[in-house]
Amino acid sequence: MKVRVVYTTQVKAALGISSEEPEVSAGCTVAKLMEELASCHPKVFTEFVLDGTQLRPSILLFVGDRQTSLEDSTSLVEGDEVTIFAAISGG
Amino acid sequence: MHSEGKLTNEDRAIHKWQMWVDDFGEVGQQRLKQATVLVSRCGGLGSVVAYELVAAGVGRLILAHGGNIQFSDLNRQLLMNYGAVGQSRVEVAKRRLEEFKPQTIIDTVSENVSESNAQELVEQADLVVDCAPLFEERFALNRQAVKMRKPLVECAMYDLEAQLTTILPGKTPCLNCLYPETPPAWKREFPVFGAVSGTIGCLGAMEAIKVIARFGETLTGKLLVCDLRSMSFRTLQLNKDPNCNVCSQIDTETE
Repeated sequence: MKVRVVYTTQVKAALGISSEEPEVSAGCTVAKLMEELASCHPKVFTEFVLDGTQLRPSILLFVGDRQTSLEDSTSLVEGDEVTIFAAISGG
Repeated sequence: MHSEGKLTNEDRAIHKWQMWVDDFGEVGQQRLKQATVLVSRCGGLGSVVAYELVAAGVGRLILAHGGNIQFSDLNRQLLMNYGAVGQSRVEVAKRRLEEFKPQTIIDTVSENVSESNAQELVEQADLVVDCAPLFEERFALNRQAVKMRKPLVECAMYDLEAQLTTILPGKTPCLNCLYPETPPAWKREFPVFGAVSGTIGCLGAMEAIKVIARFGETLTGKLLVCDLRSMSFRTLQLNKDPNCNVCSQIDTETE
């Protein structure tokens, strides 16, 4: 099945894409999805998103409009939209 | 709270268009006049926040921003001007705001918010608007706002994107719940347009006005995220961190 992943701010700039639709297996959790995305984009995910297997504290994860974490065992379903927000500030 | 709170006939003449707003009216205008708002930095975001708060009739503003105007400020810092390059940002901002409306008291602090001045600044304010670029400043403001239970409007931007939330200590997630550490890859200078900082500055000012005047629905516990590249706006529900080392204690005290 396919889910949609939306990248924002510095993560989007570093990847050079604003979204993608990876194929994931049934029962895939958001943690598994992050692991698979990290294997596709190791440099950017290491720099911005993941610290080892943990989410960096400067990242907010959402499935649809619901904030989630890597501990969330809920399975993603076809068409879910997962958004990765990085901390930004003013100026 | 600012003490000179009675509306004059001139106040009513200046603000009559907004006093026609049904759930705002004379009471809302008076609340604005009695309020003191601390704006942390008057750059791209803070210039517009301050301008709109003065326009709305907030009684007293405290502007905290160190340093002098540079050429690279002029794409977004709308209270500055070309002829004032090299002059103090807060003093130029104060002059501009006083030309616009001399009724507002503008107090300036020519340094950025830090651990050493945050307590003194936050305790003077009824509400704080955080427009600062450095996470150290933001965390210092958040800690003091939570400690003193002052509402804090958090404005942020990057490229054509922006985020906005309103923190009510004891009720909503605080900044530390969302971002407990400085992002490792964050850079002090980043791409942005003045129209982006202006957009989120206006929205941040509107949040401050609603919180002070107690009307409308605010972004308390919610994150507004905007992408002006696609003109998309989303409002997302935020989770509190039950183990937050800044606000979890205050939550317990509140209960």
